[in-house]
Amino acid sequence: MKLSLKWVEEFTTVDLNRDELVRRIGSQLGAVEEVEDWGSYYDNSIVVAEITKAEDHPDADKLGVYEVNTGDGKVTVCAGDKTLNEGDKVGYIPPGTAVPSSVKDGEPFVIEERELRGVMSQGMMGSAKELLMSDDHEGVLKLDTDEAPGASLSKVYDLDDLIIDIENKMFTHRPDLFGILGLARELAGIQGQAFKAPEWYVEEATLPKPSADLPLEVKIEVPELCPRFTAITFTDIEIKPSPIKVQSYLTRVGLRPINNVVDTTNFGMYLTGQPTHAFDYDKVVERSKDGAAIVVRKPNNGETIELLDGRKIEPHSDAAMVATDKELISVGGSIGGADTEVDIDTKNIVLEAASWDLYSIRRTSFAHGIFTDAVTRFSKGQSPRQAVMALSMMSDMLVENAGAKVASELIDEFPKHAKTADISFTDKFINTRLGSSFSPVEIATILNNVELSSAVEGDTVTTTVPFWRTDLTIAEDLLEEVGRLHGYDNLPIEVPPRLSKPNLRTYNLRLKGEIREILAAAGARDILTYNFVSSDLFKKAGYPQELVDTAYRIRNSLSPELEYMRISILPSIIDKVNPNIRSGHDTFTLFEINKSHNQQQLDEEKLPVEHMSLGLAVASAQDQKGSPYYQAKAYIDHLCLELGLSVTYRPESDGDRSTPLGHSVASLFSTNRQAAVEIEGNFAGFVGEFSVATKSRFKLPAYSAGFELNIDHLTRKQQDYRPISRYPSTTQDVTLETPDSVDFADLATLVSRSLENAEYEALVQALDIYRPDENSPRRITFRVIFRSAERTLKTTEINQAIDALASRVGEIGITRI
Amino acid sequence: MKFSFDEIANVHDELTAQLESGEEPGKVLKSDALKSLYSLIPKQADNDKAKFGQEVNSLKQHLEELASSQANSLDEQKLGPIDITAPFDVNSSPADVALLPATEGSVHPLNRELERVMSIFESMGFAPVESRQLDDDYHMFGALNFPADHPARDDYDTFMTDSGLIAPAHTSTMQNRVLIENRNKLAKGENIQIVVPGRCFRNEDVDARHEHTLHQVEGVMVGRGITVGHLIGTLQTFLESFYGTKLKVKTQPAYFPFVEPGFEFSMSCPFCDQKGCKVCSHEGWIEILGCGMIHPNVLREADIDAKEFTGFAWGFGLDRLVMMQYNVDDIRWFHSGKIEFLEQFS
Repeated sequence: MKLSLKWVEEFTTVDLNRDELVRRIGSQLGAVEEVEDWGSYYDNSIVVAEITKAEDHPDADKLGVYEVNTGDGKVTVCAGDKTLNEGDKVGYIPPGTAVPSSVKDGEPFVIEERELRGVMSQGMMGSAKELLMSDDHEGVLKLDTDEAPGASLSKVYDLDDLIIDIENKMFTHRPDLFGILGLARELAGIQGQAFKAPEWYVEEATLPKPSADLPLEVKIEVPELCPRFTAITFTDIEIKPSPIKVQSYLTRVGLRPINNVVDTTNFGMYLTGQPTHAFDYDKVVERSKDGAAIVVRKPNNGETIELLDGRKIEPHSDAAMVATDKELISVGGSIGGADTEVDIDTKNIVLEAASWDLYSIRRTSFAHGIFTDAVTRFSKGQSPRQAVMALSMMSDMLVENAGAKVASELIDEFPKHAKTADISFTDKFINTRLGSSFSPVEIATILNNVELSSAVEGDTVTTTVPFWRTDLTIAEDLLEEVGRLHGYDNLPIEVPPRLSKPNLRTYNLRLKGEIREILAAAGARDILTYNFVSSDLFKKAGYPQELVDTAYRIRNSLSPELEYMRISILPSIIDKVNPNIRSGHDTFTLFEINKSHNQQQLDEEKLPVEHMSLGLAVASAQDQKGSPYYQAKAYIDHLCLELGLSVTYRPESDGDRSTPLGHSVASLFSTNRQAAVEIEGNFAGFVGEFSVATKSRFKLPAYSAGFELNIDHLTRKQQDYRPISRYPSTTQDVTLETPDSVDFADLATLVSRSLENAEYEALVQALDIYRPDENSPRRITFRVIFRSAERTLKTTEINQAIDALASRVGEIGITRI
Repeated sequence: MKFSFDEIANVHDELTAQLESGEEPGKVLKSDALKSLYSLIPKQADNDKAKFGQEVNSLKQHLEELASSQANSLDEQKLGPIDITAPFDVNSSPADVALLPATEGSVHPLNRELERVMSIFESMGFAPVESRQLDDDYHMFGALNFPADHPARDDYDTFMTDSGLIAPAHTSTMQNRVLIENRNKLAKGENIQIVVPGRCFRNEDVDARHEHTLHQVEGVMVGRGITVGHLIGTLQTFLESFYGTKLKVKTQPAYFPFVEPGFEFSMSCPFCDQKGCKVCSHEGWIEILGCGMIHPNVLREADIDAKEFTGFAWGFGLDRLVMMQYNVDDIRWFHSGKIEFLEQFS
């Protein structure tokens, strides 16, 4: 919404310098998007001048040669406009001065004296476009002023203006601030001045008595969509350009002057916030059965209408439409119809000021892509109680600027007239929320300044909601007015009082932070990837259709790349592997902690369970020994060790593939080389070497593996301190030839158990796993560290222990070597 | 696969069978049977030519896919079983599964800064709780005083699933839940003080400054006698603590349906001390967040007596905070997974 300072100043005094004004608007009204110094476009040398002699150019058919009184003597000016006559006033731009429109466009064009086919032209007479009064470029603008030649154009038309553009978003709840008058009222309030609206700005405004008779019938069939419809007819209209002042105001705030009737509706809307519409009365009669009849209704099936913007639409079935008793003539509150448009030959008009349901307006706007100034205003909920005021103001303008005669009494259909309730509150209510210390009288004064009529009784303030406000229903709404008009930044600022009681993050948030630190210290990189993935990614991950069907699909996704919510996070992580290899990183580990969703697992709110997963991928483009499975597994082992958690690796068939999460992760891995991970005895996810297919589709190096674990239920466990022995420890290696039927974990457990002893502790570590050739059993070497807190251990007892171990494992076919 | 020409269908059956029986893929793809189909294209009736050509092409594509998946599964079979319980592979050693050095690791800058943000708020008495990433209309809008079809919804370009769920555009989607979960504190004379970090989503085109996936930190405080001054004081204290410097702050009125009054909150530029720099676009001020006093309808929706208790809420974007902090020029780096970016935050 563009605020013209000059226009505002017609209603209120502004005693602030430019910077302070902009600052105060920003802090007390709404964010300022742009400030345009309109006055800077006009050099003071641009003046009102009078044509004193008009002649044809001796040597050019299309040029006129004029003698012009500039107030500072007479000059000769040639113009491509031969319609000027002696006595016409024009805007004169002398040599050496830039054309205002060119200054605005940022490319100043400076007028010079120049010869035009033998005649010296000393300056220029501006068109409306060049003088920034409208976008009319047809000929020289004839000024409608009585000022004598030499008067500054800027002064005569109040052009030394400041245009302050305030974000519309700020006024979503303030329909009245889509009018200059509303802004003027707020500016008064911000300055602590009492605002006084002009006399015509009253709910029960009076209209001139009719001096002709153009009857009109109005009927509202859908009062829920159109609470009020007022109208009045006019005759003897003479369509012509509006006064320059009106055109200039419209141009400054970004509206395009068209003719005196259309300009009146735009000017009135911009001043009061109330959009109106003018129909050609005779065209309405032509489209009515008998006389002029207007009906507000929903469209019938298949009905169409051609709009003012040239489009033809079939309105949606719930749209509020204005029709005659035969056919549609405009989309209510949104845009007029082409068939009843006011044109150059229009003599009689219907001027309508109605009120529309904001939700209906918004639906219609979105359904048909109609984004007019009227939609902007009505979708904020304009008050139905301001319609007659707007009509009255515009009637006066039409009488003055178009020679119009009022041709009907006011027609006012207002089936559901509802008055708003007064709002009462105490000073305490305000002060406990603002932290302020206003008295009831101070509060009432602040409100009365902006015509929110407020009375004080004891500690209670009672405010009557004025006819132009639709947003005030509760005391908090008035709290906002008081705080804002006083200035929030002027309120006492302090940190809230608090109890000395810790308030800590949830366990899961803490755990995530700890896991990130542990993994980063182990050389892994924490990454973030999108929740949104493509069907192509699902395809690369080898998901069958029934798995894809469990994913949520975004119906308004930005692109097919972002069409689905991911079911698991590991595919997104491995999708980042190849780009990093291509940019020269050959060995790295990536991980992410994030959520995934599927349509199968819902919580008690009927929303998808949000699984918190840890996904990790290891990759190396260099030759590495062994399956990468073990590298991925080493990260789980390390993490669990740091968190004090026990972990076991079971055949993948022991894992839960029934959930979309489990299914989607396990399918990435090589069947022979994956395991179900159990942490503290609970299934947590899968780890594996990526299958050949996964590697080829994601362009992963041969050495790549990963895992995805659900970390929702991980709880860090504290490991007790192990006393440090004062006696030296003894180390002994033992190699066991082990058939493949015994897996490593079972063997390691067996070894530890066998060595358990009351006298000392034995720490067992794997040192080497060796298979001499493909058909031989593995030789697994353990290093055992014997330690006693009481004494130095003897070699003999250690040898005995190892011998006992050998014979114990010998029972299940394992040989000590 | 369905073919309208018998010649093609026959070749399909024959070659598929060959591939499945283990015939070498290269040989099958270069077979005469397939080649002969191409030579048949020109011999088709004019209105069949295009269709015949298309079908031959799709057969070829099908065979190539089949061949590559056959090849993959052959290679897959070559990967023998391993002992999944072992710490490292046969004929390798513990050194082969050594984890990478810490210099190769890093915590994502957004996560790192979030830890710092959470610690500051914890010290101010606000407990962090995580936000949802997929929510319903009620929590995203309804519980926050946005009636259906309200124009204020236009300012939130949300993503929606086919089933009508919403990828939340703000962490305020958690407000109703945290109010309900913590309202029993009010009876005990304690305040509700929560911050909600989380992922948010905006349906807007991505460029150096705009992302569809963002991170926000929401804050909520409710209690007896909580004022606008407390709101401003809390945010100022947080920002000063985060930037480690004294700051000036200012508000400007703004409209969000879930607060009344609502504000945009700005701080003096901590990077240039208001002398003017690139970060603050030489304005000296940086608009950093939206906030306000929680609308009584929002409190009521959580069964909190809005006459007795008042409160405030705010939400700020973590991504922008971190971008300003480290001079990150392009928001898209955050989700790029690029090591060149991440390693700068080791």
